Amino acid sequence: MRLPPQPGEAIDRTTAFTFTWDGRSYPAYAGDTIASALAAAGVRVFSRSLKYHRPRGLLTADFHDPGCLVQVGDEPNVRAAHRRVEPGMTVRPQAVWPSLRWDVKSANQLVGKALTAGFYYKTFIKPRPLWPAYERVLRRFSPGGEVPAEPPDGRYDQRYAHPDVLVAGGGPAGLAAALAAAEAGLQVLLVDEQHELGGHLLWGDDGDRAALRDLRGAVAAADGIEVLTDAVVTGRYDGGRVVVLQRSAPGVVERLVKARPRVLVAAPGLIERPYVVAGNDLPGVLLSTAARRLVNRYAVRPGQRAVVLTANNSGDAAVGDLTRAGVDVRRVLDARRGDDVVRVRGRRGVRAVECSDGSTVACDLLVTAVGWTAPTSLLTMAGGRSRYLASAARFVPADLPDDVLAAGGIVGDGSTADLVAHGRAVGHEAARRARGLPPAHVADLEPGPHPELFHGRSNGIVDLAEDVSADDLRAAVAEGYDSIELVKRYTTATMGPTQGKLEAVNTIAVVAAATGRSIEETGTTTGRPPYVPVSLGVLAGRRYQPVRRSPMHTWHVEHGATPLVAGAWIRPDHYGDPAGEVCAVRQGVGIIDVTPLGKLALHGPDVADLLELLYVNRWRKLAVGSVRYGVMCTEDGVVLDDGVTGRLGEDRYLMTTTSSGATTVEHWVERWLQTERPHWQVHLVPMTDAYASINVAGPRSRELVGRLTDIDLAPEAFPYMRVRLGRVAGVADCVVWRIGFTGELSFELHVPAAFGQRVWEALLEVGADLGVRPFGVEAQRILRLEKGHLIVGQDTDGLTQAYGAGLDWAVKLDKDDFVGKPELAWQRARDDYLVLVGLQPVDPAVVPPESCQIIEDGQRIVGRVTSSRMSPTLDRAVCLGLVAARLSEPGTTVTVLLPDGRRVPVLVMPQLAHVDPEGVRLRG
Amino acid sequence: MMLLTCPHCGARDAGEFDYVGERRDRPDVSRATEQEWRGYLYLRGNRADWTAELWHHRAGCERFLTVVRHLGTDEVRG
Amino acid sequence: MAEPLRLTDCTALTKVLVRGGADGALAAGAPYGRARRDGSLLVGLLPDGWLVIAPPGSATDVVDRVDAGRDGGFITVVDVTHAYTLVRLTGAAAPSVLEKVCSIDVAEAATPDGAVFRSLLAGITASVVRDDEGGTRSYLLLCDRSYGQYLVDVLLDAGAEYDIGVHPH
Repeated sequence: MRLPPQPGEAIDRTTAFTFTWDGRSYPAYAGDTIASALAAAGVRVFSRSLKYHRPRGLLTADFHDPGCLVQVGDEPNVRAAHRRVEPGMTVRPQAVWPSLRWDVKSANQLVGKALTAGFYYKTFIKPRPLWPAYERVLRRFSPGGEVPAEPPDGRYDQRYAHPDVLVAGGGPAGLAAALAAAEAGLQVLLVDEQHELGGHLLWGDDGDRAALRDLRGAVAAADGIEVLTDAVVTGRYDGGRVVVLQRSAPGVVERLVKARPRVLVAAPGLIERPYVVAGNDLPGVLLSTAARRLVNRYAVRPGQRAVVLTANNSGDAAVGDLTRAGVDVRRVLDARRGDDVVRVRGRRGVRAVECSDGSTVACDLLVTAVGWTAPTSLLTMAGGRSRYLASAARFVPADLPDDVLAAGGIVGDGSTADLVAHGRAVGHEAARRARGLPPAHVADLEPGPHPELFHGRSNGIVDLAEDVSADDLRAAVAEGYDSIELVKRYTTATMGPTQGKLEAVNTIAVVAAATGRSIEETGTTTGRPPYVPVSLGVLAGRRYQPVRRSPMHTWHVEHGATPLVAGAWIRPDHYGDPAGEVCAVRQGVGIIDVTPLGKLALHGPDVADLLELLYVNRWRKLAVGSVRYGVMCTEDGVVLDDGVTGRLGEDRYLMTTTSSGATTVEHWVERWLQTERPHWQVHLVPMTDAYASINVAGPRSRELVGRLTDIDLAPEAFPYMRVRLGRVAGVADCVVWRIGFTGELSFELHVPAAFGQRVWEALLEVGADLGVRPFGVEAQRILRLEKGHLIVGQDTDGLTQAYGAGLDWAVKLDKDDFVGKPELAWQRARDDYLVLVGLQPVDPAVVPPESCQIIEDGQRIVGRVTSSRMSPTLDRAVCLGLVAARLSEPGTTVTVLLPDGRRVPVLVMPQLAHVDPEGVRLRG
Repeated sequence: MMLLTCPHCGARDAGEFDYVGERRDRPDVSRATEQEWRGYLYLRGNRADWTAELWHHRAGCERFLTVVRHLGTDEVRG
Repeated sequence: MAEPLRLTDCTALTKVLVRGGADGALAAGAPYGRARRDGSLLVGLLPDGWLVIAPPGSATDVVDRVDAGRDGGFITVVDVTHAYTLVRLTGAAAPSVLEKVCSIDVAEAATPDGAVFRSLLAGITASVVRDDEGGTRSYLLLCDRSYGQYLVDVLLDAGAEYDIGVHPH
């Protein structure tokens, strides 16, 4: 029932609207949570419990309330006691079939024995083959909402932040700490879980509200405090990173703030603990803080007739608030004097409370105030500990690292003024430490005395989210699970959506009592991030996926290229007809965009020494204007990369690498220069992106390029494996190479990138009469396979040393040193490795898929096919493959196992090249 | 994410760096036995203790840096 | 009113990379992590690498000027104009955009005018030069040319909530 206006209410009565819950329309005010609006309308049941499907209502009336996870439109698992209701919102209960009022699954209550501790393990594990069937049934019983099929509207966002001090918690101590740090001139990020700053002062008395007004005014006026409300610190990670989940940020669904404060101040206050007694999960059992929130913040009268069990001033204050709200407080049981609740009676809600004096009081509300839990998990994530203090009946922080401080209620008790004073002292100290000053001690706030009240004499629910009772925990202990970590995993206590915030200490207390140990001896479970559940959307953030594009990218897209993602590059795989593209290159001329090819400028007097060291072959006699193919190995002799390097000037070389190896080789060269040969005078300048690279290939490539350049392309002036500098299509500073990955006469043009598309289009335009065609990566792969040119990483793997790759001719073991030399010397003396060979299936129409095994004696693997294609030039299947050295003799027939189980004979060829093994075309 | 302090750039996210490995001395190629060479290639201390490592500040100053890190605690010595 | 946010393509500007000579005149002009203006912009890009950013088409002049200033040490001068995309992000909200894509602190105290850093921006390596224009926050962002379109897309996406506009150079 809605009360008349309350002095501290959060609702705006001038803005009224309706929303729907479970198919019916309900009124609400702006500022209401979903749960407060429903409670004001008399709704008491919000969900059914996980295992026993018992009705559940409000308990804490805040974010952590385990009984009111609801579905809002497409969004599952919304915290109804936290989420503000909006006009027209469609809210439904979750996983209650067929309805919230009549839930057939509550039949589980009758078979509760079968669902005791460890029931998942015991009941469903045998017979094993039935598990999939069990799983389907169990899934219908799971408490989650419906995951939407479509992504939600709006964006999830992330940002970084660099405050000097991050204050987690915006109650009196947190506000005071933020103010003190800001007054010292520091940047402060103040984070609070609620929609407004103030912590427990929000639902307090007149004095609390006056104090809060002052604190909030000061924060608003202070320089350097950024406030995030409806935001929660989800964890502290390596390097002091603190991650904040901001739920209602302008313009986005949620935002993850990755902060790196110099000092973290934890001021989360205290979480009120439920009492474990039979019937403690019935709708109508409320914590004292929940009752005070409902009355003072939302003007909701939570019941008609109440019993209050109090052990502290929060319970005492709740008695006053309830009385003022017109609730008939029938009995106040003072636990400090030994009063107790024996059990709570009722089926769909509280109907009566049995008291320790033997009386039974009819009521619809039981309010308990039996103690507090200090949420220390953020501190333990930061490397601190927590210590049990029996006199205060709670754990308190201990042994914090220097860059973490705790303030306010988490440390101890006191008046609002005491909490503010402690917050100020901590904030001041945080500012000192953020400035790098040595840590000074801050006087602790002393925790006040409090009776130890965890569970009563009857069996109640300990973990309300996971539906684990005290007897379940005792049963687990009786079965031998006597360590708290084992009990947790066996019973799933503390593993639900509340993650221990409400139930961890009660769990420990029950286990301690059952094992005959103390709470200190029993210890705590490990708190890990995230502190609250985090949506996958906000973890993904804006989902940046870097891609690289060549200067001719737009042209490829406009001309129908099928894209191929190769590493980060987007490349044209083909323009619709790869076989036709191959034929164009073999018969006329084609052009391909090879911009991703790695290009490293090497300058300095010692470049030749560097090349001698990093390549297995020789480089000292390379003349200016000449090009050589080189192979690099790692120190274990495994082939790392290959490519051509040209000498452009006396001390000036241009190294090319494979497209996929460009970055690896750049770092490899830098590493040898920086760590092993720092005295060498060599500078490396990465130039991959500086040039658009175009390979012009085919018997008519000389004619085509000749129409666009002033470089003399005559065979005698510009032979194979030479490099020239000059103009192409009017573009200066081009590098022109005569090399041939495709096996055809070809010229590779490296054009200053901004002019790449101009040159590309000029080639197509002036070569129209030559039949010039663009070709893509697929045609290039076929062409090079026909020619038997290996691709490092495809025709070699992480174990292929240079001799296995058929590179014997390149390895110069008589050099004094080169990277990988010892291993290659030892490899040459062995024959126990696979060797790369050319392969042709006897049946020319069979193309064994790449990675097919080569087998012997019906099953033994002796190699594999590394590359295979139908060759348009030969009109037959051609392959490269790695086979055992003893099978690598030309003319040997080996057996390839196809994926469909067929075994086909394949002939080992005399050389890797299938087309033009003599290299006539290449050198033409 | 772990922080590494780069002598050139200051404290940075470890994601900016490539971990290369424990620092090792390359044996003399002309004299190395198989055992020495394979030790250089494959044997690592990997002790929960202070260890000199090579890191590459790839997305920073591009220097290869020797970092002395405690493999048990991730502390880095300046 | 705060200066509106805008992104300008400056890729056409001449960029000349100088490697080596860490103890020479360039280092004195702009140590690593700092940039200095005197006609052109001298950027301390690496501990032993400088980038000279100058008007379009002036590469030969810049190379000649650096060559003339050699003090005998081992130096390499390369025109890298085509190797990088260069954009300018200007406006009061520019730091907020960078905070979405980069883990480096861009607050005044950590990254004042003239500061240079190289780090990850939305997953790619990029260099950032704080180069204010008439008192308005402005950053030059430099990345490998092939990532240029990606970087621009990312900045426009991150800047959408600040009404980012695109300006031709």
